[in-house]
Amino acid sequence: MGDNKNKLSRREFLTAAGIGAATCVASAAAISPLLKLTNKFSLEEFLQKNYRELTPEDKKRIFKRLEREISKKYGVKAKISDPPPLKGVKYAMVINVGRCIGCRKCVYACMKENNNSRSPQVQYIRVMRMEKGKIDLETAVHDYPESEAGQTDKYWYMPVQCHQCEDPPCVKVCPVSATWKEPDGIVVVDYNWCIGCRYCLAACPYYGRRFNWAEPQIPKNELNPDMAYLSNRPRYKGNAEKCTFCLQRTRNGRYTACVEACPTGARKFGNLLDAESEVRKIIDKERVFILKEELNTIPKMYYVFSKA
Amino acid sequence: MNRNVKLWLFITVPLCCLLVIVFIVSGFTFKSPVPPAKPLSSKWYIPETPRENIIENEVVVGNCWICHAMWVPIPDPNVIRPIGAHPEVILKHGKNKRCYNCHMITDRSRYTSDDGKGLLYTNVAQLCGRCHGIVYRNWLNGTHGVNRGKWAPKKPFDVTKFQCNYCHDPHQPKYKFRHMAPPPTWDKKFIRTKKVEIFKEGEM
Repeated sequence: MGDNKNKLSRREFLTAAGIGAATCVASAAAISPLLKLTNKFSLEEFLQKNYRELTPEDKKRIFKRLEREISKKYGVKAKISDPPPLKGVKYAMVINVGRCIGCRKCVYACMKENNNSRSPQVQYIRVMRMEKGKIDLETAVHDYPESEAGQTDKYWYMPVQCHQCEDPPCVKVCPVSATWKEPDGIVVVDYNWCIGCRYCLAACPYYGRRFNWAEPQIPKNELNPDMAYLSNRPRYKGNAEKCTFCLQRTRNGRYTACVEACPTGARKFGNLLDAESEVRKIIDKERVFILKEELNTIPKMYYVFSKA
Repeated sequence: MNRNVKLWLFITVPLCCLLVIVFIVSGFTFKSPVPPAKPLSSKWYIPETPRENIIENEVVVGNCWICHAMWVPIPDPNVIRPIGAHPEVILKHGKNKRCYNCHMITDRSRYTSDDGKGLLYTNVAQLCGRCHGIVYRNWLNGTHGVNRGKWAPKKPFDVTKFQCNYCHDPHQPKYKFRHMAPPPTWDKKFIRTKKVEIFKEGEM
């Protein structure tokens, strides 16, 4: 009796083996899409540390690898730099909504400068169109057609982007510290460290963050080769990203792309700690409005209602 | 092995085989639903003020004296606009209809100024400031107007501060908008088709 119990019959063995083989093949087939990732995924990238733990040698090596990857993917010789934050500087932007005509030039200048994905479209700036005489964001429209732009007698326009908060809610919620506030007030993201959980998108009260739902696509001839690690290098699928006040430009003394593109001069940019700067003069002299001030995030984006 | 187990095997083994086929086929035939990227039009992002190209390409500055000093006599100062003078210029500057309010009557390369010496083309903002004082003060402070270059200028040529006529046509100073960029593109289900309802006061 005991012998019979332990013995495996031929039929039982074959069925068990059949099931085993089928499950093995099924699970192998199920994970087969991972094989496609081998081209995009390297061990070096896997072992890369958070940006803030990198030594200068590490950075040099990583930047070289990224440049190689970009030139392989886009056929463009890019240069990844890492401009350090300037001392004694806090960046701020002032938008004069009295003079904004809603032409959306800033939106596309930003896309071009920051190598944003063209398809699916990622835009850092939203221009809200509101009825004249009302400040009601609930009825604001941000996908108004071109024909409704520039009609300053009917509507008024309010561009909204990342407010570079002094107490940023997006940084608080990040579970892996992939985003932080730099000493000059710019909130940045380490795209290689981001896990794509989208907590920051949910936490931001201004909808200042964007998510790459698909592989970002940029035409090769439109890629901006002047890149910085923390700002405008090409992003990956599953990355959160945001406006960085064009730190590859501003830390080298230049204006941001949106300020430069604005045809009416509604955008002003400068150093908040310098009493002689453009933004300080406006904040001192004009009526300044802060969007969602009650949330106490202390944004460094100010709105001014001034016609003259 | 009892019968129940055997019955389940008849279901599970073919199911596994089917899944294998489904996974393999779907892995090879997967197509991204994202459409290919379209290039941006350079009109949407190239920085320009409304009259920048016109100023740089069309206006010849400082050559008015070729005609005005040699052949055209100095007109009567009481005339608002001499007949037949520059018919292509359409003047829509409000009450300011007299040519010689701005253009100096004795030297047409210059503009009028309070001290009578006349202003050169490069200082045209001072001319506008004679009437539009508040805007002129704001422009000096940097709250009105467009700057290009660097946000923290250290050398004199680090920053370009545009004069009034780079945006406003002096003869028709009302701002003219040139290029408008299209709205963001979304999936079709997100595109607005109806007019947005706006609450009127007292409805709530």
